[in-house]
Amino acid sequence: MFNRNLLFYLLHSPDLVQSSPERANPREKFYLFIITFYILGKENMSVLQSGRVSGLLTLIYIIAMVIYFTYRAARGKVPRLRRIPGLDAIDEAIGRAAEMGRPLFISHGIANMTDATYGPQTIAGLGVLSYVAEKCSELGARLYVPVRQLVIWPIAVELCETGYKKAGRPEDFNPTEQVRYLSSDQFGFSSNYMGWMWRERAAANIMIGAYWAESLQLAETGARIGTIQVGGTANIHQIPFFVAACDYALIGEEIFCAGAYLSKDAEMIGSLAGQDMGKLLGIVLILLGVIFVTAGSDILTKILSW
Amino acid sequence: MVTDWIASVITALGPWFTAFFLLCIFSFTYKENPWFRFAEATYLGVATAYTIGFNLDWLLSQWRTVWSLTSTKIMLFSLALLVGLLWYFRFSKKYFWLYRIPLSIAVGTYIGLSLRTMVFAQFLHQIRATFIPLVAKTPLDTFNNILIVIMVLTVLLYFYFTLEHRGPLKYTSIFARYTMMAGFGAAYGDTVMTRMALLIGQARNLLSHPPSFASIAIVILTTLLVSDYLRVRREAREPIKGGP
Repeated sequence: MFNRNLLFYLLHSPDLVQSSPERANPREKFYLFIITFYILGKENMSVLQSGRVSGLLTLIYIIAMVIYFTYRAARGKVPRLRRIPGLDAIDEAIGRAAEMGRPLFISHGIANMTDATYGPQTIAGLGVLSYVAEKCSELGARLYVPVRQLVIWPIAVELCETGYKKAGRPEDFNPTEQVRYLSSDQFGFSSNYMGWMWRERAAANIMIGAYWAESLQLAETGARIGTIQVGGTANIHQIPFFVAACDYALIGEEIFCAGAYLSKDAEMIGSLAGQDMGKLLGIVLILLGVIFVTAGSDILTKILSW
Repeated sequence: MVTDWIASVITALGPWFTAFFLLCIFSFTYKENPWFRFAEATYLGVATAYTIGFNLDWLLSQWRTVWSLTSTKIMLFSLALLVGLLWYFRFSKKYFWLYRIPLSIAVGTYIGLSLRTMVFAQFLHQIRATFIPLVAKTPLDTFNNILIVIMVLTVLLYFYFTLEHRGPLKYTSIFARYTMMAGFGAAYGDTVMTRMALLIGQARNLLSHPPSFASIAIVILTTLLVSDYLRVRREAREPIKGGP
């Protein structure tokens, strides 16, 4: 149990604090903080909880690797990325839309940015939107962005605006016409997306983000009207639909490197190298774990459960 | 009295509305058409209104049950409301940057929370689950375990972006692709089965009602076919653009 009396005594101890905690000087406040932290740690909530230490160490390792490789890239040592055909096809899709004089649709999925599990996929999709908006403006292709989440609409508008400004054609961008909030309802969004794409006879459709049951509805509609499609998601159960119905599919983790790959930004590529070191750690741990378990030892399992 | 009458009328018309909108949406399988457009617009309007109503109701219930109980909670609730109101500055040309404050708070908080769990759920737990003995009790289990370890490692290597798939990595990459395709095939079949169950459920729902529902389908199909026929005839009569 939390020892309230002890904390009260320490906070009001005349030796430690001259008058009251509110009027303590910075040095006294620092001591108070340390003592409170100690008591909380000892009595109530441990700073290092059993079962979570391995996670903390892994996080520290991955974050350190990302910072190191980002720093290296900023100083000119940029790692080389392998070719990802799905991402190369995005330029082809934009070019096709510009040549045909028909619009390009780009969606960043239906998850909210604030979603703890699926939010990163939306952020990855928005990274692609930023690149596509600039390219569309350069080549004169019409761009349409269907949005499901209210929170994302202003961000999508701002990304597109920046893209058009970078290309030197801010006057071509019409936020209310090109970036549309459709519906927060999953199938309300998908039915309107399908209808909109069909009515506009889209030339290209790029879908990168978190998708669920609407993935095949959208991809199938795009295929029926003859668009060139690039689909990518990290939701395992929806990848097969993109593989089946899209011209190019990005599988899982590939969508997270899309922003870096397309923008060719040195620091973003550096951060990818840092993430690769995380995967390397995974490979090494699996190899060691399998060897240990085969030899009858569960020491690594215990270490990872620490 | 009047409300009871309205409720009874809505209850009676409910199945008809269901059947009508269901068939309107299904008509998209033929092509995009005015019936679908009508259902789509209705759905959008209803869904948006419902979202607004639901959120306001949630806000009120939170206020009544949790946040109005103590003065500290009232202050915190007011602060959250004020931060929330900053979203509306998106519509101001001068102060639009203020909307970024609630956005950063929301994104930062949730990403921080996700980091707390993701490292376990999507990294350490997956690694621990792959700690399986390469020599098992039966030859089949041994083969299975070896296959699982090889598949996991090759798929992990496939997503290593800073290495070109050349040399030995070319072969591991091919194996990883086959592994993933096998997984996707299984997932595809599984999901399609679920969708078929949904379709059968809807078909049963329609068939369990009086056959008069078929009249809706007949009206929708007839209008679509007739309008298409007329369009084809009109196009056949019109001279080709750019022709002699």
